[in-house]
Amino acid sequence: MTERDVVQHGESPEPHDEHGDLGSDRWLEDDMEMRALTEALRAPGTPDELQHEEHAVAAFAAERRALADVAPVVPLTTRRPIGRTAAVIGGVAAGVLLLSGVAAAATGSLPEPLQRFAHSVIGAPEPATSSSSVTASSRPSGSRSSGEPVVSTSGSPTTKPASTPSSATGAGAVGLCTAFLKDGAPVAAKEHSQAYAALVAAAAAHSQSVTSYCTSVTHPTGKPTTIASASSHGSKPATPPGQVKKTATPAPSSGNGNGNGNGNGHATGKPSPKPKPSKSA
Amino acid sequence: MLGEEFPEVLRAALDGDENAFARLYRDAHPPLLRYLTTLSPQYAEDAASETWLELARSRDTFAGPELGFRAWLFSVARHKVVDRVRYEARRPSTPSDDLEPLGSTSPDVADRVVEDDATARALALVRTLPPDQAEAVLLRVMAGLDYPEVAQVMDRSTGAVRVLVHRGLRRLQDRLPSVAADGVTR
Repeated sequence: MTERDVVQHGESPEPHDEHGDLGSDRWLEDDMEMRALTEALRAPGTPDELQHEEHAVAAFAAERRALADVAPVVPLTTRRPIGRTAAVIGGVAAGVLLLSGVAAAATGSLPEPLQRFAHSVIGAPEPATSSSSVTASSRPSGSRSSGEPVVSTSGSPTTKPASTPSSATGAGAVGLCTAFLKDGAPVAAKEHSQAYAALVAAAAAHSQSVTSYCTSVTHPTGKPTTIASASSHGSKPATPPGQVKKTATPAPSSGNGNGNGNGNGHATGKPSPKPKPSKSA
Repeated sequence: MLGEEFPEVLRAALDGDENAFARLYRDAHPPLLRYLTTLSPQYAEDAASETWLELARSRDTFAGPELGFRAWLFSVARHKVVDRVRYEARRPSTPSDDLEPLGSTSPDVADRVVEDDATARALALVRTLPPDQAEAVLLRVMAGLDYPEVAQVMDRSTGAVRVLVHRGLRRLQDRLPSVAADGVTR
């Protein structure tokens, strides 16, 4: 405690200014009795006053924990890596989901329209109940010809109705294949067994080994065109569908805006607790 | 006051460090309680507890100086006790002692809160002042706030609180000898 701040502030007490001594408390320091009074007022807490300290501390900590549970306050320095991790997890999850679809398509188990779509995009088996009137596309239901961009629905070759799923599928395949080729089957199998199974299924649908399938996916050489076009989309497979960064709340340092109008002109950043008697009124 | 350590201690407290919060509490709770008891002995403890909880729930970090934090603390506490007094006053069939206006604390009630003799007597003396003078003196001299902060807490102009503090201190000075004879000053 600095009990004497008020009464001892200022080594050279000034005589009264034009406002009398209204603006200054310095006259207090000459008055020993007033100084004692001030010190008594500022004395440290008595046991009686602090009898609820334990309870207050516990309640405070509990509130802070509850607050942190609702929305963790993450320091800026650690927030970014967490965001990256979440993004990577999101990307992998998306890849797994997409390849699950690929696997389903490869086994011909998708609903008919989807299976037809998968057939045209990744060369999955045609739907069992084939009807040639699925799309009024520029390409009738003939067999898929390699090297030809597939436009499934609208007649315009520039629109990309298939682009979103196909590129996403491609991105998923390319991403997982890239990981597979880089890490090798054991790692991929261990860490992403579901994804690996999907890769196996997709490769099997092409009557290829996973390695050769992945090679063809990641290094398209006029193989399945749609995959080739997908790989151009999928050149950045790590890009997640959505940054999963919104767990941390921003604005940890808003200062004092707590509805109590703390906007006095004193945000001077001075660390000194000393109240300073002002000289002018 | 914690001085230069304050920002660190407050930050740690808000991060859930119980020891840090205990330091904060031990430093600021006694003057807060003395102030609130002067305003309303009945609701002082409640208002003080609620004020600390308010801090616990706050997302602000009070990056500013310690005085700004104190001003916030006393301001919130004052609102709580004033609201409570008003609420109780509006309630039908309120016992008459609940209608006691702000600042009408009798010294003996205050003495129950503070055991320390010198502190109790000093507070008792301050509480003989008109309520607004007593409040201004406590915020300025005991809590250590600057005049603009006192003005903010009391929702008055800076000039007005200067006058209140000045008059209050002068009046205390006049009354001190009798207290001094009682042993407040050595």
